Amino acid sequence: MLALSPLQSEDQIQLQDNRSSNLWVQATKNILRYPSAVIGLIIITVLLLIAVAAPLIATHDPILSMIGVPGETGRLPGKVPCLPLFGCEDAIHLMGLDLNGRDLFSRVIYGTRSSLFVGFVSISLAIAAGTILGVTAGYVGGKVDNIIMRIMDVVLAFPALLLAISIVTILGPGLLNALIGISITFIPQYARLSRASVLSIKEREFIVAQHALGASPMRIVFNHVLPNSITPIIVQGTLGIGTAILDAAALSFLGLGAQPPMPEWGQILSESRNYLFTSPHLVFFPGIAIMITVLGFNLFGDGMRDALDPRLNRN
Amino acid sequence: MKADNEVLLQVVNLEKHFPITSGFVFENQVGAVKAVDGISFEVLKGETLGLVGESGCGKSTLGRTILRLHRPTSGEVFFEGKNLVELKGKALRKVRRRAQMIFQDPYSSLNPRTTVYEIISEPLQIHNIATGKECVERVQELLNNVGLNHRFVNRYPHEFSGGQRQRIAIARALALNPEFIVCDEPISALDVSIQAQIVNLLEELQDEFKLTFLFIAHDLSMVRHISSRVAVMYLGKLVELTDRDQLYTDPQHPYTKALLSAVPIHDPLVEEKRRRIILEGDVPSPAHPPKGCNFNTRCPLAERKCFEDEPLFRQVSPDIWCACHLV
Repeated sequence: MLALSPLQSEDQIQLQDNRSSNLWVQATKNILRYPSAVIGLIIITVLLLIAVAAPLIATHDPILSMIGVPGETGRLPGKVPCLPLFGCEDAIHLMGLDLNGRDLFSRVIYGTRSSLFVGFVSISLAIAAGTILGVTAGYVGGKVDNIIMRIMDVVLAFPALLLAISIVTILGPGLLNALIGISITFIPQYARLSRASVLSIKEREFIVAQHALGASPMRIVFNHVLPNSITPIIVQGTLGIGTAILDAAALSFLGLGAQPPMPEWGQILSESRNYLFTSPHLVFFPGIAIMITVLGFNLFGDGMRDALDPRLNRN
Repeated sequence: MKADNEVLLQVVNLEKHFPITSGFVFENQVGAVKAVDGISFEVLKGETLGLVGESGCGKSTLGRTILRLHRPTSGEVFFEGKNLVELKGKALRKVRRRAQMIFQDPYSSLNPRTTVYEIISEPLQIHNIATGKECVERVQELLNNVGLNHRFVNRYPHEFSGGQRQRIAIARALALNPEFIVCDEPISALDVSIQAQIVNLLEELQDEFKLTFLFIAHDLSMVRHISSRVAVMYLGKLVELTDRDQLYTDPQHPYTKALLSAVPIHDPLVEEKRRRIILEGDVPSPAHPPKGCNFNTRCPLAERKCFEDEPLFRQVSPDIWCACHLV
């Protein structure tokens, strides 16, 4: 038997009463223990800062042509497309000028905004819709489950990019429609994932115990089923942002996403593909930007997987 | 222990059949697993009714069906004047304040993401019993009741041992001041040394809070220790229900005799002379129980009658209920 200490007023314990914040505080503490996650977090933070402060960082207007405009050195930019020291007379253009004489550095910087926007928003929408569908299917079961999941199977049967292309074709090209298309293709993933974890959680004894205590179904789903099944969804979501950014770039590359002259990485690649051999820098810099962004989200997602598991807590 | 013979819980002809379905999208029922197959008994106020039987005989299903954690196929459960089988939604949740459950595996019966405080205070919040400071005090009082330090409130379940977790689960069940608790093998997942502690704790709490237990177990010696009456279950049916001492000294049903003969005796000389009744074969599938008496496939005494008629679960003497043609 454990020693019993009587209730004393002076050692009243401070209760940490906030269910969800507790989980996240723990997760944040843990995440700092995983080097790859820290690197991922740093990359994402830097990208977010760049996106927010794009007008301050960019040296030029991203859609303004520099042809015939003398730079701060007083010289004309030279023949476009060009790189500094390789045809670009004005050294202020860090990544050179594109075929229309626009400053590539500024375009890549501004491109961060649209890429992160598409990544975050499309995945958030997909998670919201997918989790609602998946949890409903898993928790209610029976016919509801069958109907929802068969529809998800149909959506999943299409190749993701083809489905996104057909949705954008119906809605009309544009970054926002590309976002909607991408998010629809991602819904089945999250529906399946959340259904699977709900199925495994709802048979656990602590859920039966909640029934025995008289908890309402809503309370059980929101307080017990969701917190225990959200971890794989968060991890998958973080990894999914990278894929969504890639898909958005692909759609823009095909001319269905961001429309010119909007600075978007896929769109920049698309414009420059004919100059691949004469001016490789035009595809190099936006390509590197996409790679770094996707890498950041993937590293962070892997770290989240470990950090969100309370059984791995060491404090 | 049973000062008055007031009936707290009455189970009448309770059945729980799990359907076996086949087919894709359009499922149709092709059979049923008869986990609980027509069980009737009474639980008296203040007693501990032990429920024993082999794995898979339907003990846990019976306990859960009584508390309406499974929807019964048919039958009635009367508890404090209400028929639990007919209750739904809010009315059912209200009754849950009076009847609670302790689960077998303390590793899975506590939500790993919630603190001890959240676990124990949850029933209080569900039923709007206590809030704020009152709730904190009640949780600490409950922790003291089950022999845990009340400073543990902010810890998570994974920081505790199996025995401590089971104490937390007991505190949660006690939070609503229930009258009746179904203990579903509360000790079988624990170390032997811890088992005694938990059983003693349950007994202390029973005296303190005037609780009634339905104690499900397969450890016969532990059941003998804690129960006032014992029910023996085989393949979804009760075969015998008698006083504890009566059962352990003079079992009536051949299955009970075989079961008791398997209990080792802690004296090598007596143990050597112990005659065991070894049952042949396996328990039949509850999806296809045999015709006649359920036990006829393994019973050493089975007669022709046993293969034709199903024996009734009847009162053979004031204290003994038994389902056997030969008793």
